[in-house]
Amino acid sequence: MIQSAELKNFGPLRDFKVDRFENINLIIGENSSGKSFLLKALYSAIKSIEDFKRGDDIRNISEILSDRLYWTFQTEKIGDIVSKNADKTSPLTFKIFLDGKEFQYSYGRNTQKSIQNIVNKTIPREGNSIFIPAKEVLTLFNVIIQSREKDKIFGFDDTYLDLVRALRIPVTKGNNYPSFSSSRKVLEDLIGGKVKYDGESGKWQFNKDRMKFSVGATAEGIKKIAIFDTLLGNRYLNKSSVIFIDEPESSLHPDAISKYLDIIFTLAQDGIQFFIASHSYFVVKKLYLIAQKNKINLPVIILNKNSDEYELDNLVNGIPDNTIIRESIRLYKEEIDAIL
Amino acid sequence: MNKKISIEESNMIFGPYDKEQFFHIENSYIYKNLGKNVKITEFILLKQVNSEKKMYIIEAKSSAPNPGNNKSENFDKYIDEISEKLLNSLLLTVATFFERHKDNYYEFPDEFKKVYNYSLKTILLLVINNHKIEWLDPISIALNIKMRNVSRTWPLKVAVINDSIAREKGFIT
Repeated sequence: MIQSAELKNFGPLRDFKVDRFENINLIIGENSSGKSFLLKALYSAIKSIEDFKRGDDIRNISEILSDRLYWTFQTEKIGDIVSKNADKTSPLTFKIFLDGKEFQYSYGRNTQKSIQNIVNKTIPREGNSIFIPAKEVLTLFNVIIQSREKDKIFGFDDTYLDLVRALRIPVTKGNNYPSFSSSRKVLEDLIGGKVKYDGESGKWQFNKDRMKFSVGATAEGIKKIAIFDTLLGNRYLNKSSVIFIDEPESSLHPDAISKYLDIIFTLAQDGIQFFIASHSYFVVKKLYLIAQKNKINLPVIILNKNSDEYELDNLVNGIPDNTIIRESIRLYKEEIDAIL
Repeated sequence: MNKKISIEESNMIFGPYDKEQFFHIENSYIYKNLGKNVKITEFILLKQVNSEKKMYIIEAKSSAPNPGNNKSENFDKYIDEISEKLLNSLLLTVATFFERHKDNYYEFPDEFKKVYNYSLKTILLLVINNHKIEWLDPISIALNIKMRNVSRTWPLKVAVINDSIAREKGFIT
């Protein structure tokens, strides 16, 4: 798991440090406050470490990381990720402790593609981490593959490409972790059927009541659940995986959000680490209840779009003051003003 | 000059209100003659808001279920109890307007008799002392759902506020 992180001049994150992450970590903040940026920064690092020395890949860690940053942030040169407001001589620095070992790198704003300053003390990882973006990918499955694997053009970043590649792995029966199997059962009950990839036609289908539907004609929420279900069923993930979820609430009914987060808690107890970025009152509330009921530390990082400052809190101590709650209060006052 | 009245309920000082615009239903003979089993709210208030007069049926509470003290059954029981009080108070008020309690009709302030008409806007208002604003919405939603049939059949609004909003809106001092 990622124990800690320290980022400087990393896009909107000018000076960011968390000493202790837990198995579930929540990131909240307004639009453009840097939530997705933080998830992608952590994701590109852990994926680089996981790719390093895997199979016959002979690339060194610097090459892998540079590629990852380039295709994840999709800027002309990776130096463009360095904070615009930073001093011209101040480099971007990134440091995490992963599974107790240090991984860090730094580079300046003129860097085109090659990162020279890199320290990797991590040990090779067997697990696969994954990033689940806010938008579903099943409908655009072949478009993403075409644009990235064949045309090699910007548009869909590495988080999308990795996900569609992971979803191409067929689901296998039996011998799964009990927590994965029980979670899949809940997910399948939620959507009332199964979404499957048909290798022959290269298309996704939703099977319900012995009928097959094209995935394009299927509700967004079903596709979202199906993605998680497939990842838990095709052995892509294991207990050392780190899962990054951007806006789990998108396309989901609050009842489904609650069940989705219950599953996340079950999996987190088994060792999987989650980083969740959200705008949703229901997500904050449900994670707060999970922290309270189970007396677990659940760090919440509150980013601020108008300043470099951020707040760290813990949902086990209550719901901290934040813009989501403030907006719900403002709406409540507006309602009361209209009535009274 | 109109006489003013204030009352203390749930550790909040309600008022001062014009005596003619305030009906302490809980202390009225109308209510006392009903017997002990009818639960009722504290008082009824007429209030001028901009260009119109509104009638508030007000229940005050010193506490409410919240994330620190709540068990779901407490929450449901609380909503049941409040909705019963508000509904009884509404029925009793309407019954009084229609002089169904003839012997005690004199208790009703003249101002109420004067302004009552079918279009008088009615608000069932729960005021909870010392309750965080972020905890009000769930109570408001639950109470509105519970009283949905009432608020549809007798068009009215149901609102839940805390002491700080009550002070801001001039209900308490």
